[in-house]
Amino acid sequence: MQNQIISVVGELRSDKIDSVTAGIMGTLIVSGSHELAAQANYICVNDVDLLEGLVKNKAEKTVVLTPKNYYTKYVFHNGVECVPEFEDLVPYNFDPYKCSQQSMSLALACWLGNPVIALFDYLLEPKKETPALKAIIKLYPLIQFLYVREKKGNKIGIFDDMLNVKQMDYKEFVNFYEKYVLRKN
Amino acid sequence: MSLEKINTENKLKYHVVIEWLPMCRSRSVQTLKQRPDLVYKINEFTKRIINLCETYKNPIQIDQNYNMLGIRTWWQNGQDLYHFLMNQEKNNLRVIPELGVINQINGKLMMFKFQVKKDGIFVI
Repeated sequence: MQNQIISVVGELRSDKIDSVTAGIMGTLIVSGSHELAAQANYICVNDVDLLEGLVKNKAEKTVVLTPKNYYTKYVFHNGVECVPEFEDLVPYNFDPYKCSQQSMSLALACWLGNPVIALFDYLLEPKKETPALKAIIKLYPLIQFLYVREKKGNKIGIFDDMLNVKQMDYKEFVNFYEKYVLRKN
Repeated sequence: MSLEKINTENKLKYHVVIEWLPMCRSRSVQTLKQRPDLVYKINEFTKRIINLCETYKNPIQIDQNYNMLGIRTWWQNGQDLYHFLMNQEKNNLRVIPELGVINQINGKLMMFKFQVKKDGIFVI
């Protein structure tokens, strides 16, 4: 069975992702040193201090992505790559050195491309993170984004005007995944 | 180790050019046709490079097409290339300090300059 979901784990550092949910996240992109880094397909990092530790401790299958100037130190290492230029984001002055690691992860997910991208433990913050997230979501109207929290709590209104975003908790995500996979196969 | 032909499964990732011996550099094919002595030196040099490459266990591809600058080589393993570059002086070789790296994510070739120093290789 192929995974049809790309999951981005953000930098909220609040939700504990249980093993059931972690097992169905599909292609996993982790931002910085999240506890799920050990099972990530990709780790996006633009913090030099974190980078060395992540490169040293990464799993064999994991690819660590970092901006070019930081990458040069690890050119000869296996499983470390330079973050690609995200062509769609060039007009928006996307800067891999200055953006958050979770924005880089999200940009990578959109660049890789998939009908469904799920966001876990994703930090929302009105100054920078939320506008960046909304801008990227608007740029990809054909991608269904899932904003997934451990517990849904109060519904966040910031996505109300966006048709391609669904908010859900882990249980709903598991249901969505099962239906989505069943429908696809 | 065997010198593999180009194929994507090998994931040859790194590219460097090893300079010809000084008297063989920047010679055109036309010149070489009239200089069998240089052709002999080029062949001997190529054999030496092949022998050196065969000491590494991961695939290395040596481009069979003539290049005026030197021998074009493709490497799969970064640590092998690192070792080769660090030992170039000992092996009486000079690698042109330009490194090509294929990005595994987008398949694009990125070019870097580098400097070999006693305490390591500095990529710029």
